[in-house]
This record gives sequence, structure tokens and C-alpha cells, in this order.
Amino acid sequence: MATKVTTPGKKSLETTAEISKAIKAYYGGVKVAKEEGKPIIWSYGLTPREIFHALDAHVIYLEHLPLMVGAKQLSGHYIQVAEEEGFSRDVCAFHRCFLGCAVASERDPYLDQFFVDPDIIIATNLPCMSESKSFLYAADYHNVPYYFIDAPINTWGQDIPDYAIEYYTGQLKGALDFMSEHGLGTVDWDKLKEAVSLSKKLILLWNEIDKCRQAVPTPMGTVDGLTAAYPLIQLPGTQLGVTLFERLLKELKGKVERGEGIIDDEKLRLLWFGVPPFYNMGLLNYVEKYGAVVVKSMIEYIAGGAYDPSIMNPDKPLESLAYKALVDIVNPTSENMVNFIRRTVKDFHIDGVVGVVKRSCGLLPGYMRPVKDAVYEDSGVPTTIFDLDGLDIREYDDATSKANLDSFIEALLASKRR
Amino acid sequence: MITAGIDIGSLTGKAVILKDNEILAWNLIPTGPDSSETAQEVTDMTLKGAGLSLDDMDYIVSTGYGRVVVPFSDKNITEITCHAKGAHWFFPGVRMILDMGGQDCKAIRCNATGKVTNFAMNDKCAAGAGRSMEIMADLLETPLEKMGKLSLDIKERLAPLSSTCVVFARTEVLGHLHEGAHKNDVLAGACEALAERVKSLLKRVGIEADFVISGGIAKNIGVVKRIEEKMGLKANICFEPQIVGALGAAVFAREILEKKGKRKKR
Repeated sequence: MATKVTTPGKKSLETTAEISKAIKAYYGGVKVAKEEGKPIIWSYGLTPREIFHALDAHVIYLEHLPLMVGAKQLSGHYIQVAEEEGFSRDVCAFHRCFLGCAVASERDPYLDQFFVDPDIIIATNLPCMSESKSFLYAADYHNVPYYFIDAPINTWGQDIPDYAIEYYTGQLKGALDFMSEHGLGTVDWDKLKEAVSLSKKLILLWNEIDKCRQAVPTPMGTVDGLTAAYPLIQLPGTQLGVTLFERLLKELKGKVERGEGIIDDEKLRLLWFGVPPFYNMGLLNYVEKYGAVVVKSMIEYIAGGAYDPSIMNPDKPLESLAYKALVDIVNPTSENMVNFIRRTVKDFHIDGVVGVVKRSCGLLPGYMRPVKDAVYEDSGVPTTIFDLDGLDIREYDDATSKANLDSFIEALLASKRR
Repeated sequence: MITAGIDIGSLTGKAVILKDNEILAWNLIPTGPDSSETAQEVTDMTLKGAGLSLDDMDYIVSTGYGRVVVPFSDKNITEITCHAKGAHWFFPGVRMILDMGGQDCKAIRCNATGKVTNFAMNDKCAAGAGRSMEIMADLLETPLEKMGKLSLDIKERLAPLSSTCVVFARTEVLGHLHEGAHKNDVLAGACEALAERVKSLLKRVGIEADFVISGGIAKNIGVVKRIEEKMGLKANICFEPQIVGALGAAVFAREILEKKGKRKKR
């Protein structure tokens, strides 16, 4: 497959580099665990990861792995492998990429460093049903046991009713029993409580990190933010996640005190809504030539970075995790997502929202219009919306993407001058 | 004060020379494989028409997809901003512009001063753009400039075409022709599909009554009439809708110069 010319994102922070190393170390650990005969789980980034950490389980996450493959410009290849296997182009690009990695007869050296076949699959429908279907296929393909955690769709906003919490708690208990039956041991409840406590610490730190990022000029943009969000995705419930965020916070506080931004003359602050092009993160730096910074992106919160940490009660670990999962902004309730974006636009002093539509997503494109309207109504901040598949490099059109960004920024700058 | 606007689009290169606020000369040529050469060629032709040389230009603004490769440009500005400015120059009351270019299509909203307040571009597919009409003209062996008129002279009934993909539309055209459909009816289907597609784009930015169509497809009466019918609006179209972006660039050049107060040395 011909490779398109893309530019990697330019990161600014030392701790982000450390987090990148932690990601590599994590996956290296998964590979070693497999070699030692320990069971490997495939799961999804919105399954409460704390339960896996409490079991000392080794997990590969369906959505995180494609991001890493995408960042190496390899996603197009594995997506094509899945299509050759018979998956339609309408199936989510993340799932096609993961399935392509799963069924590829040959894997490139990068993927081969950390990709291992599963022993158990723990699927869920949060946030989208197609994930369970993709994992069903993978379970058949690898002939491994499959468990499905059913999450109620959030139609309640922030106030999740007790019966929904009870139901999802039951689902988590079922998953723990299932994993025990398949060689992962019995859950150590003290360890799970400790994981919930660390998870709470993690989100409190993330909130402080966010406060630093709200500073003008911002000490950290989305190019760093997407790597920095890794502990939210994979390390909630671990001391390592907390330690990394403590370091990040310290670094950011120093930058804020010194008034250091990621660019010299910050004129515009943008929010990225939708999946950024992981194969071409340089596009987010591209806007810097206009004095614009992509300060924040919705995707950084996708694995639970947007909830009130007071809901985390270590004495009720499963209930806390149930609440955290169900209230997540991507559990399909437009109210939580729209309100979250409204708040972000205000808190981060955003001048414009860049909304990108990944056509193979059944969830996020539907939010574009309500978010655009709500943000404009609330803050008078405009949104531009255009097609951009953040994972399928074959779909990427650099000229059109830049034409949209150029025109949008030109209009924003003109309206600032008025 | 003499300024120039150069618009290097995907299918045509355009140049406009303004003296103060009056158009001195303009030209358009097909974009060749080398955008810089196209820019040079269309500028030379236009300068010659005005009896001027590049040294006489006080300020030059380039626009269009090839704007960054115009070697003698003093500044480049995106085509969306320039189309709004150009449309506002021709029709000062304009609030909504539909620019139907060669490879893309843009709906633009602007304010009373011609500044962009909202815009939407078609996606990567060329189905809403001039290239789709060229493909149809070629397939139906009809001169591009006659397509619109013929499409209004329906012989039996409009032959419906997919509005989503030019490649599939080609197959559909062949199917209609094999079934004996009259060429005019197929042309009507092609114009209808395009009009339907741009209607959605306009609705995305919000409909305004003071409406301008620019770009090459504005010359296709079959598309324009159908858009007008669908929108219930009368479109304003200037004498040469393909130069609106270049004109906007020339107007920007003048405004920049007025602010700076001195001409650019060449």
C-alpha cells in the first residue's frame, strides 16, 4: 500500500515523553506475560479497567492499540486486511484496524513487539454495540471464551438511578466470576478498593492538570494531551498512573508560573471535537503558524476523564465503577456530551471548535449538530465541521483538511479583529 | 492604486486587475499541471490586456488551492474569504454565497461587510462540483455550455440520478441511455442531482435571501434554475462568475494597501 506523506505531532513536554515510554513498557509487559503463560485479555477502553488491575490481568484494549498503529501510519494496512476478511468499510475504522491486526497472517515488526493473541475476551456495548460484534468475531477466530458486559444506555444525564447502578454492578460481578473461572484467580477486594481509591486520585490530578491547561497561554496542547491521557485510558487504579500525573502536574505548574505557552504568541484557542488524525498529528501543529493552538480535545476524555470524582467511594468499589462507566460522556446521552463541551469551551477560553466526522462512527457524528448549536448559543463560539477519518489514512485528504482549517482560522482571526 | 487578485483553482486559473475600485482587466485559463506556471500565464495575459506590467502592481493577493505557489504574490488568503469579499463587491447586500468550483463546492455566509461568518464545504466527493458536470458532458457528448439549456427541455421525464457519487452516476446514465431515455432527460437528472446536493450544503450554513452563485457552474442555467426553485430564492450572478474569488483577492489587496499606505516593491 502506498503511504501518504504525513507529519508526526510535535510534543512539548518532558512528562509526555515519559508517558510514551510507559505505554511501550505496558505492552512489553503484556508480551512477556503471554510468554510466561499468563492469560491475556482483550477488552475495550470503557470497561472499568480497575477490575483488571485488581486481578493483575494483562489487557490489550481494542481502541488504544489502533491509535498506536495509526500513529505509525500502519492503520490503513490493517484496516485493509479486515476488509479483505469481509468487513465492510462502514464498520468502525478502529474495529476494522483491530480485527486486521488480529487476523493478519503477517504482522510488521512494530506491531509484533506487543500484539498477542487473547485467552479471554471481555466485551461491552459501551459506547457502541459494534464493539461486541467485532469481539464476537475475534472470539470465534481465536476460539477463546467471550463475556459480554451489558451497559444500560444513559438516558438520565448525571443522575444515574440506583437500579441501573445495581444492574451494571451485577454485570461487573459476572465478569469477575467469568475471569476467575478462566484462570485469573479470585478478586482481592482490598486490592479492588485500593484501585478505586487510586482511580479517584487520578481523576483529581487530571482535573488539576486541566486547570493548568486553561491558562493563557496554554502550557499543554492536544498533541501532548492525547499521549498524556494514556493513564486515563489504561492506568486508572494504578500507582503508576498517579505518579505520571503528579509529574505532569508539576511540570505544567512550572510552565504556568513562568507564563510559558506551547507557542510564543497565542492568538486563538481551538477545541478538537471528534477523532484527530493519529497518522498525521502534525495537522494539529499546522494551525500554530496562525498563532492558533488546539488546546483541548474531546477524545482525551473518552475513557472517563469527565466525571465528578466524588462518586468514587472505595468502600463501594463496583458501584463506584458502575457509576463512572455509565455517566461517561460517550455513553450515548447527548445531554452529558453537549454540557461537557459547553463547559470546556468556557473553561478553556475556546475561540473555535473543529468538528471532524469519521463516517464509520455511529456515535460521534450525531453529536456534531447539537454541539455546534449549543456552543454557539452559549458562548457565540463557531464550529467548523468536515470529514476526516482519524484512523483510516487511506481516507485522508490533506488539502481539503487544511483548506477547512485555513478558512476557519481566517474567519476567526477576522472576527477577533472586529 | 493598482492591485491584482490571482485565483489558482483546481480546474481554472483566474486573474483580475483593479484600478482603485474598477476592474481594469480579467482573464481565466485552464489550470495546467504546474500551478506556478498557470499563475504566471494568466497574470501575464491579464496584464497585457490592461497594458501593464508586473512592476505596475501595487499589491497582489493570491487565493485558491494553488495560492501558496504564486511566486509574485504579496499575501495569500483562502478562497472562502475571497469569494465572500468578491461577491460582496458585486452585490453589497449579499449574505449567502454558493461557490460551485471545479473540484469542490462551498456554501458561505457573510455579514454586511463581506466577512465570513460561517461556511461549509462539500466532502471529498466531486459529485457536487464542476468536474461532475464535465464527466456528464463528456459521457453524453454534449458541449458543457449547452448542458443547462438542454436539461430544461425535458422530452419525456427526468431520468433520476444518484446524487452521491459521480462514478455510480456514470453507470446510471448508461443504464438510462440503454433504456432509451432522451439525452435531455438524463441531463435534467444530472442537474437535478447536483442542485439537490448543494441545497443540503446551503441549509447547513443557514439560508439567507440575498444570495450569490459563483464559480463555473453558475453558468449552467439548468442547475441554477433548479437551485432557485428548491430554495425559493433568486440567485444573483455576476457577468463572469468564475472571477469572483480573484476579484475578492484584488479587493483585499486594495484594502491591505490602503491600511499600509505604501505599495509593495517588486
